[in-house]
Amino acid sequence: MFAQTFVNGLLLGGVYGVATIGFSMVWGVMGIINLAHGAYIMMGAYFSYMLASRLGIDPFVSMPLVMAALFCVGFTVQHLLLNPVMRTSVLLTLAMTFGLELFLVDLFVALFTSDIRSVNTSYSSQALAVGPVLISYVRLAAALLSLTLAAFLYLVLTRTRLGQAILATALDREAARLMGIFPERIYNYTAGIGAALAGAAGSLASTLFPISPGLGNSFIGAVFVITVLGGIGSVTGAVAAGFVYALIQSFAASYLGVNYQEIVAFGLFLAILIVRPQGLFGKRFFGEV
Amino acid sequence: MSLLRVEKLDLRYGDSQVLWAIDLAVEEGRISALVGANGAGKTTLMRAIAGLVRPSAGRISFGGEDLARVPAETRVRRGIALVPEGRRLFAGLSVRENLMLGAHVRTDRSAVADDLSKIFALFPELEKLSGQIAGTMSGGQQQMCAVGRALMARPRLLLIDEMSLGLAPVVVDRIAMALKSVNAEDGITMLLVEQDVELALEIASHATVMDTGRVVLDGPSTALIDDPKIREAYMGLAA
Repeated sequence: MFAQTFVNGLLLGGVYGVATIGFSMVWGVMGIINLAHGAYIMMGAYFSYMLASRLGIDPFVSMPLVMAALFCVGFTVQHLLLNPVMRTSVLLTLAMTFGLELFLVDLFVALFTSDIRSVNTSYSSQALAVGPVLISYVRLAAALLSLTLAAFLYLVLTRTRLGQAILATALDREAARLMGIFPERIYNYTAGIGAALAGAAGSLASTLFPISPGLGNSFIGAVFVITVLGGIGSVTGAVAAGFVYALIQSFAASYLGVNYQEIVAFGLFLAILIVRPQGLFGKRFFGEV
Repeated sequence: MSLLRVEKLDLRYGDSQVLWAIDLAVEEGRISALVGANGAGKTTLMRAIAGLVRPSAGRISFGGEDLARVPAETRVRRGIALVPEGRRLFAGLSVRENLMLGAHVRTDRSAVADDLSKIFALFPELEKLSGQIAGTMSGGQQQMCAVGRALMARPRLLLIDEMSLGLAPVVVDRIAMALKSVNAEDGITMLLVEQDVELALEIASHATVMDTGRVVLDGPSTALIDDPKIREAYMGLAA
């Protein structure tokens, strides 16, 4: 049971990582705690479900499409709603994203009802047997894709002109302006990338979990914990913390019972806030200590 | 011809006015200095020229063009680069990344690469430390990196705010020499803000003295250096 629990946690960790990176990056770069991030994940799951049920496109195949759609949503929301609010008060964005979350969840209840949907693929129930341990192909693919996405984002941030502009704006907004970087444009792209990653997480989630308008709510708690655990704004921290969180949750569920998984995870969250508010890895945003 | 002209500039923060009818002209190709005590408004004036704060009245023009509606981000593209007070490097990024961000607005890749090697020739330690996280370097190295970052924009006008603050005299001399050589070789016009009046008058050919938000004196450095009022008030020397 130990090995199976360990593998289950490990496989889920990648998905948690992807669900968190976008949220953490938006928080680190703009100081926005995007409470609508869960709704973006839910939207990603529904887009994947629609493309799978109507057009028969496998969620793993349609993922780039879902990410592109969510990029546009995140970009537009930032441009039209959040940038104007940020000019007066960053704190107000909290109220704004909370409202957006409620709006989007209710919108999807109205569009799709609260019925639970699921995406079934031919390989859904297949698993690779390694000794006594069963490794679900879907979960394995989801975990590997998560790591690929995280690595890709890391390269974008460190190697591209846009990535460097994002980091510069995060580290010193005014100095970035002196370099000719328009912060609000960077915010639009950052929000777009954050939403695209939420979309990818939703896409992966659609292959693993039942889909309902409340799907995002079950993620947002974990996303908060993992962000703080990994250090706000840190891509590598979010991935590592995603695995830590999933392993703890997985062991708590199988040794103490499912009811305990959240209690243990959030207890850990509070403990970390008190003991190591800078995150497990001590790094906030790209060396900003 | 004046590359930069500031005319009758007023600036207020809320209820308090910090700049009063400032007139300033910076001649093309020269090094000019802005000197005066703490709180004279020198940094505010620099920030207004760079576009980071908005004047309440008056005019700033660059190369004959009014800058009133030009945001800071666009002023870099027109050729105004500022080395801000306190350097403001991107502390978590490497020296090379900081320098390349200075060239963010440029698309001429091969010229950017040439300019990077020029900066490395000017400040050889930056090349040795190019992979180092900028925030972990000494103050002098950081100031060299900040000057290099601004030069990477290939500006027509380089604004430098308090270059010498908190640095060892040896380092200050080196950066001053570097600025003089860049000015002589590339003809980049410079405006320095300095608390160290002696240093400013040594580097610059022309200086403007400010006091509590107003311009009080203006003239060639050679004339100011012998001015008994300047010697007494700002250099602590007997007239």
